[in-house]
Order: sequence, then structure tokens, then C-alpha cells
Amino acid sequence: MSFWRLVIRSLTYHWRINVAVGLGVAAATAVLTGALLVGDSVKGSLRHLTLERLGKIDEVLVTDRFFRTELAAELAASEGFQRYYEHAVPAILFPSTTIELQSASHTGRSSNVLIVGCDASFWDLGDGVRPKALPGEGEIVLNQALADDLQAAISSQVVARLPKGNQVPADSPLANKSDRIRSLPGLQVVDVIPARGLGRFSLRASQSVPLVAFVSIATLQDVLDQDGKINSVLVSLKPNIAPTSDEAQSASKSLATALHPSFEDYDLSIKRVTRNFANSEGQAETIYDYFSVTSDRMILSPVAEQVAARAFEPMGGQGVVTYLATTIRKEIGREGEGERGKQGAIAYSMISGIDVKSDFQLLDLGGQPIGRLKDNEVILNSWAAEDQGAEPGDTIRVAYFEAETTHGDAVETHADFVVKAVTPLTEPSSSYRPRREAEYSKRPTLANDPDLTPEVEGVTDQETIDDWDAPFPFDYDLVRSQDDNYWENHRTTPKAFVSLATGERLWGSRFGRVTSFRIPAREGTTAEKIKQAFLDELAQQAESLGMDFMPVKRRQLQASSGTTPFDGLFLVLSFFIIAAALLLVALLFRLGVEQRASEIGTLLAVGLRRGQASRLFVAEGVLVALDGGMLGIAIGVGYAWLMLAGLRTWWVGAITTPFLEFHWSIKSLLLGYGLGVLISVLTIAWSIRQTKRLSVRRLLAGQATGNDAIVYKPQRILSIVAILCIAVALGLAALAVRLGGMAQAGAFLGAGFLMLTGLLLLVWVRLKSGGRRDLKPFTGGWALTKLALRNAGRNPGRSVTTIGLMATASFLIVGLSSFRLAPSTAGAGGFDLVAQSSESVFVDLNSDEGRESILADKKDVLDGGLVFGSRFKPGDDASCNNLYRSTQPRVVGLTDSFVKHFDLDSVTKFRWMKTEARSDTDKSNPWHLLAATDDSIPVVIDMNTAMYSLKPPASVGTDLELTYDGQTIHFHVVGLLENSVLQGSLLISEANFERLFPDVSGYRYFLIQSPAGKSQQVAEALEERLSDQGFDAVQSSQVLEQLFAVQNTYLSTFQSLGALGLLLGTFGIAAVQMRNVLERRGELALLRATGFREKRLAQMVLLENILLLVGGLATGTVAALLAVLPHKFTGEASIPADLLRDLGLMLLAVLIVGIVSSLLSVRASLKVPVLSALRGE
Amino acid sequence: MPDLIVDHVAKEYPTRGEPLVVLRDISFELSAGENVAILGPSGCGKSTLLHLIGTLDEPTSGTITLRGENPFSMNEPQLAHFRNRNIGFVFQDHHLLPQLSVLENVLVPALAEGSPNNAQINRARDLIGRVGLAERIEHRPAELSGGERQRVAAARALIHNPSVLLADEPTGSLDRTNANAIGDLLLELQQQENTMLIVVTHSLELASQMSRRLELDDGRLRETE
Repeated sequence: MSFWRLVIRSLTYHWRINVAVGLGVAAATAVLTGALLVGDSVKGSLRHLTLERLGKIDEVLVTDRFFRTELAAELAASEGFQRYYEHAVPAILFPSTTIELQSASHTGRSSNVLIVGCDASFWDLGDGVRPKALPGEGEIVLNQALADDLQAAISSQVVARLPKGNQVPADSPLANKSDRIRSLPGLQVVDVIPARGLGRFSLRASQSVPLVAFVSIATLQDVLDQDGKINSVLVSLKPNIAPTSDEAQSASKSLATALHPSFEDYDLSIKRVTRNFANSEGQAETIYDYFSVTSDRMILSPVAEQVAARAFEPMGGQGVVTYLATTIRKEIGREGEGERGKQGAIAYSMISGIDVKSDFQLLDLGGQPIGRLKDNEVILNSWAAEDQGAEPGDTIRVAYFEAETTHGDAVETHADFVVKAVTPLTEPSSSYRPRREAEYSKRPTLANDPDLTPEVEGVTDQETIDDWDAPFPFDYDLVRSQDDNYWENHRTTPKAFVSLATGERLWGSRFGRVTSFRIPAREGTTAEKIKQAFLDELAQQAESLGMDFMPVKRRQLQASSGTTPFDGLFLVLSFFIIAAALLLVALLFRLGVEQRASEIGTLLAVGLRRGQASRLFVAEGVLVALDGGMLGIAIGVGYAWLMLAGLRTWWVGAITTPFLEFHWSIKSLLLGYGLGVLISVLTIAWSIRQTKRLSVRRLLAGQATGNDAIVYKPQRILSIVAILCIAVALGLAALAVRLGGMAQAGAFLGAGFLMLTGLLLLVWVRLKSGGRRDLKPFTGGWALTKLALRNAGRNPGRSVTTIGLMATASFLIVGLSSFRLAPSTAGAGGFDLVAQSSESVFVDLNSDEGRESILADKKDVLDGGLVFGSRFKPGDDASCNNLYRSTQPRVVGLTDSFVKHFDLDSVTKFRWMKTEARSDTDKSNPWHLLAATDDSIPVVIDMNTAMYSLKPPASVGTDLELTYDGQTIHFHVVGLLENSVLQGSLLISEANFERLFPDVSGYRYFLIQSPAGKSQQVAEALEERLSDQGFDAVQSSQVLEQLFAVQNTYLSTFQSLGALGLLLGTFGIAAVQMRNVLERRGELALLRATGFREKRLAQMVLLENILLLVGGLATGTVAALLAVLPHKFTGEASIPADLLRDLGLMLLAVLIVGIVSSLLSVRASLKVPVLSALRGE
Repeated sequence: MPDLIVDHVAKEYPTRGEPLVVLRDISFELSAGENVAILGPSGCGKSTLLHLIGTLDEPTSGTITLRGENPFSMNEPQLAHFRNRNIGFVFQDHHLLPQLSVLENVLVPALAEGSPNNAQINRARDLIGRVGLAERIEHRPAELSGGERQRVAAARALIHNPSVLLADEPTGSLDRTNANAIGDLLLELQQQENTMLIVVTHSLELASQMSRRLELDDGRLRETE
């Protein structure tokens, strides 16, 4: 007989109890393994989703400008590309457009639709999903999600609304704000493809199904007047290169160097401007000859300007800024700045900021070179000087629009200059005609240069001033006949010149400071050399002007590790099941040990050391655990599958969309198995250790517990503590009524917990002190119940543990409802609507003019309401609704008016979790903290974004380093909002936003406070009148519900799994009862001997069980209700009546299962042979 | 007519081989007010015989009638009621419920069929007084000595004024003084209650206090002096 032989023999002989212990181990292992597999599945599904929606696409170049289609082919042909990459596919991508369905019966509209302009090569990047036929001219293919959203089908007609490309920045007063969208009407839906594979193509990492439409590249090029141009290139790595490998990183560097956009691809143009004059002697004289470098967007971006300045400096290039002066007049000092003041002024003139120097040497009327201009000096051309009767030394007032608008409102301002000189302007002999320039019979001068002015569509291309389609407020009354004449003769020729520095100061903006570069056409200087100089300098400065490839697949795969560690989350959510399973393991094993107490006693009596005897049992337990663990893995797979089914259905709110598939890893299986077995073995070892305190004599007598004697003692101190706990609980609950949000929920839960502690202590005190000593015991109809109660007090520790477990479980299950969130007015900051548009809106919807211009006859609907538009930089949804890790959250720029709105005491304010506010002003309105314009941008975020979406989690005081458009931006968290509608975004000030994202114009994110009861009308009116912009308004409560659904669903999951654990726990209670029965078999036998019928005995044991169950559930529920109910009536908890009903049903189910399971112990109690029990055998 | 008739009772236990015969053809009679000690070596079947009489076990053959009734023809509820009303047990181990007071322990048999009435409570008090524990009526078993616990067990056995009081090694766990005291008490109570008393014991001293002594040997019973 060897050690292991004895172990195996014992294992098989006591197979029943060992099977029970093994099942307990299996349950624990299953839950652990299952939770880890859920984590695998979430990560695997996110990863799979990424690979599916991107197909072979690894990196993407998407710009807001159009460039030559050939660039893709040039890239594909380059050596650096071919080394690592396979495909370079041209495309036109618009990530945020609007599509409308137009039919007689129904009008549907979908915003934030990704439109993909592509050809057949795009579909080769996918995994097989492709339209039956590629969309041709006037045709469109929708993915299923978009078709469903629009309620469109094949043959439906839709309209697509797209942003026009390469435009003047919309926040410039010279930009046309009303003509920024191109419509593609009458597009026929020729196919609806499934939303999988490239059918759910998206550049954003999100598990939500994107709305995608596909049209041909030619269709988009045609409607956008971008023939032969694209705005995107999609590239794929060679199949043997993993997207996240080091080789892929090297490939990205190679790709960046392999891309060689042309000068024109950067939105730049170069033109040689030459004016020659043949004098009376027939000799040709060059008046000026230079190259003008301009941007298609009227103004060169700051980076392009910086590169150009360095590139062109050796060639004598100089920057020029030409701007529109609404008026120029000599006289000043007149009263007022009203219309009368403008009478006689020169209307709508061009004025250039350019340094007078050798390559641009203006002469005065005497033919003398004019010297360098001071900041307050101006040179007038002779036409303007004569018009105003101005002479050197006179003061000239120039009125102009501020270079940046807010809400599209052009604000006029002015500057005064001293006339330094007058430069001659030659009048043409023949004025401008259509397609023909002015002709001169007299020698023109350097000032006769209309090309100093960039092209402004609708203005510079018009024949007369009357024809201007001016994007700014245009006053026809100001235009005099001589102004018209000037236009006819000189067009955009500037009438005045200031220094470049002055021009940049007055008319520079976040979009840039110069409108062109003037490079003299010296000998050897050619357009090609100028272009190359620019490109070389660009490379030198490692600038790309937005022509960067984004490693979209790599990023999304990295982001697919997720925001929430679902394995850990489900371990926590399954806590009760694991605890219950381990409890079962411990109780069942202990039961087995107790049944075999005499065996232990015998082993000890025959000379084995306690350690040796323990090792025998532990070895047996290890074998049981190893076997049970194997079974647990199999059950764990089923458990994970069940959890995933739950997440796809009942708990879909936690993941927004049912995308999860089962994924597994050896690591998770091994870890689950190892952990399950380990903790089970530890539990078993702990159980066997408990017998070490028992004497051999007791063990030999079959007694595996301590002394039977019960000594009751008064528990005065504990009584006082219990009463104190209850009193403090009631006080805390009363205090919590005055609190709000999470603080209130926390206070209520704390009150409930104290109440639970107090009640459990009372139970302990009652049982431990033996209760009241009644000299007329067991009389009345409750005799058996009283006896059962007394029996519960036989082992107060065990009874209180049982009650405590049930109470704690039911308390947590019910009490956590207090953390369920419900939409609140504070959560939405008092705004009842949240809106987003696909395209920017420029008007101020809080002004009468703005409302009039947008809503016209429906403007009254906003009377008494407020609309705060915010700047919007698209990015990742960093809310709980997005399971991908957010690396580039969307940014919202909040206006000053929004911030000041919260200075008012009367308005509903957002609830703040924590802020950096120090001053009283900041404390009363923490939005002011955003005002700082340090290098580190102050940012406010919702606490959920901070805690769950950002990695590592952020808090107040945290410095975030995020990369946008290739630029690393440092943010400093100054405040955390509590459960707000603004979750998912970084909230910064408008001023900082404009600094960070100068290219973003207008407003796309709106918070709306409708007049009372008009929420729906406001939403409908704005959506209708701003349909071109894809304005989509949603009730704040709906947004909050969607955001809160995640937390609420997790709570539901926890409650459901907790209930499952509780059910399992009731079996544990049955095991406890079995132990009780085993220990008390002598007593029970005596009762039978004294005439207790089996039924009566069963009733008694059952009653004992029920008392413990009900006691536990009641204690926990009473405490939980203290935590929940006041919260429901005074707070913002979402505790629907049906939830309370469900919880009630759940607890009832637990009770029923508890009763059923306790019947097992009753059965066992009746099986105890009376005689042997009486003999203590 | 005797109140207890044990007639040709035999008890066998099945084994893998031949049945184990514990009692063979046991017959004896007893009337109210009589007491008897059953002696014999360990494992001779003394307790088995006592438990058969107490209806805790059923004979393989033969009959036992108590006051003219054959309990083994009864169903389980009837048998429980019969035992409750007619039989009182005192075991070597007192089997008191540690969570109950002395009074409550004595009243436990009254709970078998409902709640104790005042008469039963009064009787319990009386019995406790008679066993000398009136002052300790509220005490719990842990607060009593071994002898006192056995006295409580005796009072409990008599709560329903049973026809027969069965004592299985009642002094086995007690010291000599206490053993003698318990023996005296059982006899005193038996006389007071005019019940039958059957004591299974190894103790010749206790057996000598009984009016009759029966010795069980090799499964057979014989009267001794």
C-alpha cells in the first residue's frame, strides 16, 4: 500500500462526495475560464472587425485637398513602395456626408455617411464582398446599414451632399459660406451590399456599423470639378508582412519617402506674370516679370508660407498679402462711422501688403524710388490719391473686414495710415473685356499689377462690381461710378500698398498670412526650379502639408486591445459565481472530511503525523481538482458562449452592437484551468487545516467539529455598535438626499451597507446571547419555528455567515441598482437637444439674423431658446459606447458665449466630478478654466472618457499627449464632468481650438435649449432647414440613455450573474445544512426516538433553512432598499419599477432554489440511522 | 395481563455470508411498576433488544406488544405517535439540545405533535424539580455537569408519562457518585410514575438496584439472580 494507492482508493471509495467537490471545482474553473474567453472574444472580435472592414488596406492617405490621380500610380511604381507594398488604389473619400432618400412616400436622411469614390481596384482590396456591378455615372451602391437607415432599396433615388474641396477657409470673410456643398441628385441605388468586408469600410475604430455609400470616382470628380483628381490613396502591404510587425514600421517610413506629391498636389499654383510695353519707338520694355506662387485656397497655410519663405528667399521671393478694403478715404475726424461717413470713399478696393525693395521698387510721382514703409504708412496709387485728393502726409482711413469671422459674421474695422507717397498708375487705352486684358498706349507702371491679388471666386472673376457674388456684406450704395470705372480698367489692381508686416498683422489669420509669393523672373529662374526649391525645402523641413499616410490597420489593431479589459470585467461580474463555487468546494470538501473524521482519527491513532494525514486528503483534493478543472474548461467554453450570447442580446447595451464572435486562446484555457485548480486546492487545503485543532479522540468518535457546548453571553458592546451603525445609516441616508449624482448614489449605498452591517450585528447579538429566556417556551402556533430559530442559534457563526452571505449578495444585487443612471437635466447641462452636422454651419443661431437666415418662417420656434454651436474636430468616439481604445478622440471647441452662459445662476449646470478651480469665479463656473492659452491646452472631459476610454486613465491634473494631423498636442485636464452628454469628446475653448485646428471652420456640434415643450418642433425645423448640412438633432435624454446603457447594462449583467452565483450559493447553504445534520445526527435521532414524525422533523430542518435564507435575503433587501428607494424618489437613479419586480422575482427564485436544495439536507437528515446516530457511531 | 410482552423475538442482520444473528428467541414480560436490568458483554445485543422494545428497530421475527398494541403493525406517523406517548429513552449520551434551556429540553418531546400546553409545561417543571434541578431550569446544557445533564434527559423521557422507560447505559459516562445518583433517580421516578423501567448496563452495581436482572449471552436471554 503506497501513499498514492491509498489516495486513489479513498478517491474512488468516497466517489460521491468527490464528484460533488469536483463539480464545485468545475464551476469555479468554468467561470474563470469563461471570463477569460469573453476577454479573448471581445479582443478577437474587435481585431476581426478591423481586419474585415479594412480588408487588405493597411495605410491610407486622406487629405482635405485634391491631388492628381497619377500620384497613386507614381507611388506604386516607386522602389520604396514596391519593396513592402502591393497595391496603391486611388479613391475619393468623404467621411462625413449626408444622403437623402427621395421618394413620393418617404424622405429619409442619413448623416455622417462615408462616401467612397472608387473603381474596381478598391474592391480587390476586400475579401469578396463587392457590388454585383460597379456603380456608373448617376449610380450609387449602399451598404445594408445605410439602406436600412434610409429605408432605401435597389432602384431608389437618393441625393448625396458633399463638401466642395479646395476652398477658401470658411471662416474668412472672403469665403462663400452658402456654396460649400455640392449635391449629387438623382443617384440611383444599383445595389445594396452586406455591411461586412469592405461593405463596412471605415477609417474609424468603432464596433458600430458605419453607414457607407460607394460611387464611381468619375462621378465625384465631375460634380466637384476635380477632373483627374482624388483625395485619397489606399495602400496594402505585401501579404507576408504583418501590419503590427517591425517590418511594417519600416515599411511606413519607406512609404513616406516614396510619396512624391508635385507642387500642384499641395494646392499650389505658379504663374509667370509679365507685363511688357512697347514704347513709341517700338522697343519692348519689361515693366515687371515675376513668378507668382498662390494657393487654391486664396491664402497659403502657415506651414506652406514658412517653407516657401525659406525656399524662395535665395531667389528674391517675397510674400504678398492682398486684402479687400471696403472703403478707403482721406478725410477722418468726421462724426460717427455711419453710412454718411463713407460717402465719397473709394469702395471695395484691393490693398496689398508688400515690402518695397529692389525687386518691387515703386516710384513716386517724381520718378523717385519710394523708401521702406513704416507700420503706419501707406502708398496710394495715383488714381486713389486723385480720387481722394490725398497727398503725402495726409491720413488715410482704410476700412476692412476682420480676417476671421465668428458664426460667419463679417466684422468691419479700420486702420489709419499716413500717405508716404503716391505712385503713378497708368490708365489703359482699352479697358478689360471678356477674355481680354486691358491695353496700354502709355507705359504702365509696377503698380499696374492686378495679379498681386489672388483669385476669389465670384469676385475677382466678375466683369463688373455689380456682378460680384460677394460672400461678405456688400453695400451697393457705396459703389460709385468711378469705382466701376476702376474695375473696368484695372480690375484687382491694388490701390494702396502697406508693408508686408502691416498687411500680415491686419489681415493675417489662423489660415495664413500671405496670399502669394512674388519671385522675380531673374535669369535662370524657372517655374520648375521654383517648384523644386519648394519641394526640396519641404523635404528638408520634414513637412508634408497633410500628405501623410495613416497606418490605419496598425492603429486599429492596436486599438482593438480595447478600452475595457473584458476578461477582468467578467471576472468581477462573475465574482459571486466564483465565490459561490469556491464556497461549495470548501463546504463539500469539509463535508467529506467530516464524514471521514473517524478515518482521520484512525490514521492519527495508528501513528501518522497530522501533516501526513493532511497530505493524504490534500492529494485526494488535488486529484479531484485536476479532474474537476478539466471539466471546468469544457463548461467554461459553454459559459463564455452563454455570456457572448448575452452580450449579443440581453446585454447588447454594453457593446452597442451585437458583433461578438467566440474566440479563444490556449493561454486563457491554461490560465483558467490553472487558476481554477489552484484556488480550489488552496480552498481544500484550508478546509483540511481546520481539522488540525481537533483531538484524536473527537475525530475517532466521528466528530469533526469543536466542542458541542454552546455558551451564551450578553453582547452589549456589539449591540451598541449595531445600533450605532443603523443610526449612522439613517443619518447618512438623510444627508444623501441633499447630495447629487455619484456622491448621492455612493452615500445611499454607504447608508445601505451600514444598515446591512448593523442588522447582521443584531442577528449575531441575538443568536450569540441566546435571546430572551422564556419560562413558557414553545407555546402558541409557532413552536416549531421557535425551535428552528433556536437551532439556528446553535452555531451562531455558521448561521450568521449563511445569513451574511445571502444578505451581502442580495444587498449588492439590489443595492447596486442605486448606481443605475438615468438621464438628468444636469447631465445635459439643461440642454434638451444635442445635434451634429455633417458639414459646418456658419450662422449664429442665437442671433435674429442667424435664425432668420436659416429658419425663415419657422424662426419663431426658437423664441426663448438657445443654440450653442461648437467647433468640431472629428475623431474617435471616446465614450463608453466605443470598445476600441481611443487614440485620437474628437475635439469640441466651446465658444465664449457657451462658457458665459454658465455664469448665470438661473441656468441648469453640468455636474462636475472634480476640477482644478481655485478662484471663486472658476469654482462657480469651471468652464472658465478652459480660457488659458498655455502651450498645454486646458481640456475638460467626461469622467467616463477619462477613466475608461483613455489609456492610461486620466484625471484632473493629468497631461495628455495626443497626435492630430501629425502634430503632437499637449492637453492638461482641468475638469471632469460627471455622467454628461458630452462624454466621448475632448472639450477645449474655441480660441485654443482655432489655434490647434486652423483649417476647421464653422460649427458642427450643437447644444440646444428649446423653448418649453417645443423640443420636437425645434429639432424638426433645424433638421429640415439645415438638411444640406446633414443636421441631426437628438434628444439629450436619448443620448444620455445610450451612454448610460453601458453602465446600466454592466449592472444588469452583474445582477444577473450575481443572482446565478446566489443560486449556486443556496446549494452551498444546503451543504451547510448537511454539515449541520451530520453534526446533529444524535440530536435528530433522539427527536425521532422521542416521537418526532419524519414529516415533522423535515419541517423543522426545512424551517431552519428557510429562516436562514429569508433572514439573509430580508436583511440584505432591507439594507438595499435603504440604498435604493430614497435614491429613486429623490435622486437620478434609473430604477424602473419592472427592475424592482425582476429583482423581487430573482430573490424569490433564489428562495425557491434554496428551499429545494435544502430539501436535500432534509432527506439526508431522515436517512441518518437512528440507532447508530444515538450510539454516536 | 403484562403490559410489555416480548415474545420469541429474534434479530438478524444480513451480511455477505450468513446472516448475523444478534438475538435468538427472546421472550419476557413486564408489568407496570416493574423494573429490570439487562446485562451482558459488549456486542451481545443488549442495546439492540432495548431499541427493539423502543420501536427504533424492528425484530426479524417474534412480536413485541406494549399494553396490548403491536407497534410494528403501525405506519410511520402512528409509530412516531406511539413512541412519543408510550416510550421514554435515556441514553448514555444525554443528547440534550445545546441551544435549549433545561425546561425547553424537557419539553422537546411535546413538540413532536405541536406546541406544549400548560399542563405539559407544568409537568416539565415538576419533573425538573423532582430531578433536583429546579434552580437550574433556565440553564443551558453547557452550564450543567454530566450528572445533571443525564437528570434532564431522564426528566425529558418522562414528560409524557410513558409506559416504559428505556435506559441505555445511563451511567456509562458518569463517575461512580453520579452513576449511583442517576440509578437511584431512575428507580425513584419509575416508582413515582408507576412505569416500567428497562436498564441496559454493564454496571453490576446499577443492575443490582433493579428488581430483576436478565443476562443476554450469545443472543439468548436468561434470568439471573
